[in-house]
Amino acid sequence: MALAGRLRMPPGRTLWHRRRPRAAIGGHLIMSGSLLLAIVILGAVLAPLLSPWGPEEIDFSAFLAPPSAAHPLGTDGNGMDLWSRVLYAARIDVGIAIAAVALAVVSGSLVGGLVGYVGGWIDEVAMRLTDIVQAFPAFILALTVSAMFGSGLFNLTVAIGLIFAPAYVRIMRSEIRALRGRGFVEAAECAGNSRVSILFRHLFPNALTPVLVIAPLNCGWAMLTLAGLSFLGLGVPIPQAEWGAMISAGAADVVGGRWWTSIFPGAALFVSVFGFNLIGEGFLDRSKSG
Amino acid sequence: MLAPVLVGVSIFCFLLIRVLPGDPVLAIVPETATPEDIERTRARYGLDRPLPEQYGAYMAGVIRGDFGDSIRTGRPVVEQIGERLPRTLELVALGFLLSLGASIVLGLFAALHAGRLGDHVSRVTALVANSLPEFWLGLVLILVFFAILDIAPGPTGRIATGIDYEIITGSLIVDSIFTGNPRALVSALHHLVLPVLTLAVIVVAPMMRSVRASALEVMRSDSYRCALAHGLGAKTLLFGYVLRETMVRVPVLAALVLGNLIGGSVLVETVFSWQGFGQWALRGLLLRDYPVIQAYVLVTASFYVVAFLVADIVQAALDPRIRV
Amino acid sequence: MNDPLLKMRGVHVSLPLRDGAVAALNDVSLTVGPGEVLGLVGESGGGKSMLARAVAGLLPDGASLSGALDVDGRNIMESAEEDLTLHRGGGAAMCFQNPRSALSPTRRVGRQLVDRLVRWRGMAPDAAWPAARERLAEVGIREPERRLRAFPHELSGGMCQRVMIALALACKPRILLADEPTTGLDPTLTKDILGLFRDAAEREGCAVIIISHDVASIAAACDRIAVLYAGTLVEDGPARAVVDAPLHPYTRSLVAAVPHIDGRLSIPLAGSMPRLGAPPAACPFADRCVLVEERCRNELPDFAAMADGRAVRCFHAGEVGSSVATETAAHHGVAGGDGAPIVELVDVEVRYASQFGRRGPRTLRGVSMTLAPRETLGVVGESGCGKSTLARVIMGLVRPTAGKAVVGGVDYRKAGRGDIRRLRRDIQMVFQDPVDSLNPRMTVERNVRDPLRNAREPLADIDERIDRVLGQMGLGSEFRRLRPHRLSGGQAQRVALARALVVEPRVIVFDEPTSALDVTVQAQILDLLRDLMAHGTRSYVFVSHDLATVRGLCDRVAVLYLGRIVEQGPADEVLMRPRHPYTRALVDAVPTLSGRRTAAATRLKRDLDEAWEAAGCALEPRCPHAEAACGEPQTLRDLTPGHQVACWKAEHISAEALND
Repeated sequence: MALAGRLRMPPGRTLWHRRRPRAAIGGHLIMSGSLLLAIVILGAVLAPLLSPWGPEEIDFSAFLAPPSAAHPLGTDGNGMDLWSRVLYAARIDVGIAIAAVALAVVSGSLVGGLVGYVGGWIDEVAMRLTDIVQAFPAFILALTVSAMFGSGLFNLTVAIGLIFAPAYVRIMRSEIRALRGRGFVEAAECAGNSRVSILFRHLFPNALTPVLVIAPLNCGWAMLTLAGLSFLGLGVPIPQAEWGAMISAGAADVVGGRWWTSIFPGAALFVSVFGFNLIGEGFLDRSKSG
Repeated sequence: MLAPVLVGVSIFCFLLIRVLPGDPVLAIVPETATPEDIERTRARYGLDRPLPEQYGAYMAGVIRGDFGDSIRTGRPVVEQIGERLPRTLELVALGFLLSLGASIVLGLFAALHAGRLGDHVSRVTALVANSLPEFWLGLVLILVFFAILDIAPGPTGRIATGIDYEIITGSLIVDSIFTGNPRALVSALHHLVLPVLTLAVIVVAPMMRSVRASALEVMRSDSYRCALAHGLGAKTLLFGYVLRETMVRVPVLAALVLGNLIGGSVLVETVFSWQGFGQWALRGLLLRDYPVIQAYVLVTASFYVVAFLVADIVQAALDPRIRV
Repeated sequence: MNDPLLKMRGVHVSLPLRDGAVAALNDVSLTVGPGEVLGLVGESGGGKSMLARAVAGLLPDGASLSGALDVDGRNIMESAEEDLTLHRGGGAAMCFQNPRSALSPTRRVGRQLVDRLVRWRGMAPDAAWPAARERLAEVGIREPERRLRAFPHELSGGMCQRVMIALALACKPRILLADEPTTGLDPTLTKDILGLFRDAAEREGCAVIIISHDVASIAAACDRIAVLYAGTLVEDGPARAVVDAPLHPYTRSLVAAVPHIDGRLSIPLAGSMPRLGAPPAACPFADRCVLVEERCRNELPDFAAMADGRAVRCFHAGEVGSSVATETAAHHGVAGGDGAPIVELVDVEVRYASQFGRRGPRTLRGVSMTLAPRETLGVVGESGCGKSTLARVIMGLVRPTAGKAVVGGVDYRKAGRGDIRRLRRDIQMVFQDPVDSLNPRMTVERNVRDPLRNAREPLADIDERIDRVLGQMGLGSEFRRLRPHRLSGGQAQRVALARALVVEPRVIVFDEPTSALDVTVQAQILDLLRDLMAHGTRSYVFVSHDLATVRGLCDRVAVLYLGRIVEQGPADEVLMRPRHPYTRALVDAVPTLSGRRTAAATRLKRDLDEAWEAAGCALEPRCPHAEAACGEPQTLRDLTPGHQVACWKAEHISAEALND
């Protein structure tokens, strides 16, 4: 069995070669993920060139029309061209996902780094607060936060960022606490660094890798969260092109066999999330093998 | 950790939903209501009292097992929980167990074949599954297995219409077995297949990744190399030296996944018209039905906290280095 | 003698790495007979571990091997698959280097032992348990019944090593391999552990190979010693002969690099070992050899057999004299010092909060000491005795919970953060793990610049200063841009030294600065330290468990036991004529190349982790001289001016030792 074979002695030969170690596939994963995302982003940027229809433009001659030459992906129940809506939606979905995770990374690791370094009761309180936020159902949290400040893309971004921030607080905190016992931190203290300087010059740069490694995975997840909220009617408001809302709008048609309205936006969403996930898995692979 | 977090969650929730725009009272009174009518209704639900007082009264009720009455329907919230929660739990529990089993098997398989084709294929497959939006995956499954192949029931609920069944616990499987009702059991299982599959598929990847990474770490460790160098048999190696150490890191992640599944079940419920706990809360949220939202948040958070508690206990049982 | 159990003829191993192949073993021919203990020595990277892995059948993926490797008369490279699976464990069993991590953390020690007994000795699982108990007892584990049920994390390092040996022996191996079995153990334990290998060879009749970078620590336990350099066997012969009269210049350097308790200086070997891409065509040691001539650079000498079962690979084997240069340390400082002390500790007590006590107990219980200007103080003791805590108290990294600690006029108990930060210009520290003590994200230059930056020196001077200290440490400008992970342990420690020196402090505290390094590298670093200390403008605190090194470097020594100073005084006094039983035991446990021991060597009765908290003298549970009166607490008293000891019986014990 493979388990016992990993370090097996060779079969009868005097000069022999053991199996060469396989290369990690991290690099390939990152490459293919980036490629997928590049296509999606390119489509979003070049949307006006790729489709003659605007995202909210109505073709009164084609309601719920199947894919055709005029509408390559068909139209939805409002007569809007799905191809251009799918393209334009990437701007919102990918944009908000990245912005929300960036917000979570910055705020989460700042808080996590600080409380991890300071320790004591501040640390306790901060950890209990993250417990509370994490135990809170995500969609209620996101909705109440964005509703509190009024709905809008910016508030939606903040809300999703808030959902993901606690994870970064935790990671950063545990990294900092692990690093605090390392020799170079004591050495930094001996070198006369102030506490601020130890935290920002010595601890943060060394703690950042595990935080950044999981960011792409979270971007994919954040995009799913955003689309899920829109699917429930709690995210991006209706006429605007957004994948989750489009899937929701077409859900009833799918059961009746008019599949294109939901399937195409969902496929676009899947491809983008897959792109992020490939990069994330590749990062994880790299960080473990290197 | 249990009590403080739940109290924190309840306060947080209480404050959050009261700053939501939209007045629940205005939504339920008839359009012809006079300001006096409105005030009376407000007083009926205690919404005219100061916030701390409202909170105190609410929590006093919760401790007695009374979550108040729904503003919208006037029915006791506890009654509705009893009706809705088992439906969701049945779905989530099956989906979770399925994905947990699959991810342990797949993760070990991938680790044993690390760097070879089997590893790459299983990892990328899990990654694909993890990238699927569950509400879309549900639709695709419905399209394929109901609309095209017609071998699965449509997204119309938990059981075919026209089948009589008795409700005891609220879980159709348990109840139909209990009451000896094979027709209901078959129909319920039939309706469970697609939603359970949907839930299970999307969460395999993170758990499998963790099992694989953990198994690889064990197999690269000195302790495994030592067991290998001392010529122990493949079976002893796998069950004595790899399995338990690999599992040590799984419980905490599994608890996180389970917590997210319960909190996020609303999407799959919506797609399959499950009429579960999540959908109930969603409607409560849209209608600003405060007692419903509060009860939902508290119950979900409790599950989350309990899941972590159980995970800690399981982890301590697996890893002798940890003391509870 | 019977037929050899291990016979290697012309074994080559090469490893493909990302940056080209490495010839890890080159034309190695070696035999080990039944009951024979072979010591395999050399610097790290020299191929010792690779040889062990080849014999154990554990070569890494991608390694290729050629030559003949016979175990018990069978060439295992030509045997069938099934025989090979039988080879691992039953043919050759390995004791791994770090026993704590090599024991499975989630399986009870007893189960792990039973697994092997069932597999290799054909025992039924039920019958194996009593046998397992006996095997633990055989390797010197007290209360074996209880330990069988323990998990590895519940055992001390020494006990883990004993368990490891029991596990390997349970496989009934023809060859027992031990990779650095005593590295990281206290000298008081080392001898016992090595004795176990001796016993195993005699009792089980297996061949034993002990691998070590420190020839001194294992010499006494071995029948033969083989020396590897750059994957090439350079010398092989009876242990006594190899140590007393090394034939190969490399062996000579290895032996000379060992510090001696009698004050003889270690002599460093300059340069570093080459990494070979292909089997060498010339003597691989030529570049570092004092006897090098043209022929050495063009031709590879044969591994030629000499008289008395010795063999050597050197053209000059006959010419190398047998005497090792001896030079005794010339002490520079003035013991007792002049001027006001720069460090003064009075009744310092440190109590750690147990909450995050992952690093184990590091408490101090009333330590008083002083450090005079231009004085070098050694602090010695077993691990866990509080040495490192003492160093950290002096540095102000750990605040004493009671007592007074004054350094450079700053009282740590009263000082604010700013005061302590200003003090950093005057007092610096060098840590045990050099690579860990450098910030991995910063280049060498930025690491060295860090203290200057915080000291806010005038800018113009800074670059010159960095250049100067790096140069002083023997590091060229090509090192400035490197990150710590690219450095070897020795290079990293040079950088750490440069960082400590760059602000020109008045005191430097060394916390086991060489214990993580190879013996030869250790000698290079010690040489640098000796040069530094010879200039005599600075004070040093040198924390170490290596008494020989302390003897060579320090003016005064303080002996720490469980957070108390039990003896202190001039280094020569304390280490050559130890008075406290604990100091005597430490001194007697120091491995010596000559293997000679005083007749009345003091041996402690228990391992440190088996001792209990005593009400009176802390050593009482372990002290071979303990009697009823030792139940009283002992305080330091003057024996002779400047030499203090905390044992009421010190004079009597000396008398007893003489009478024996």
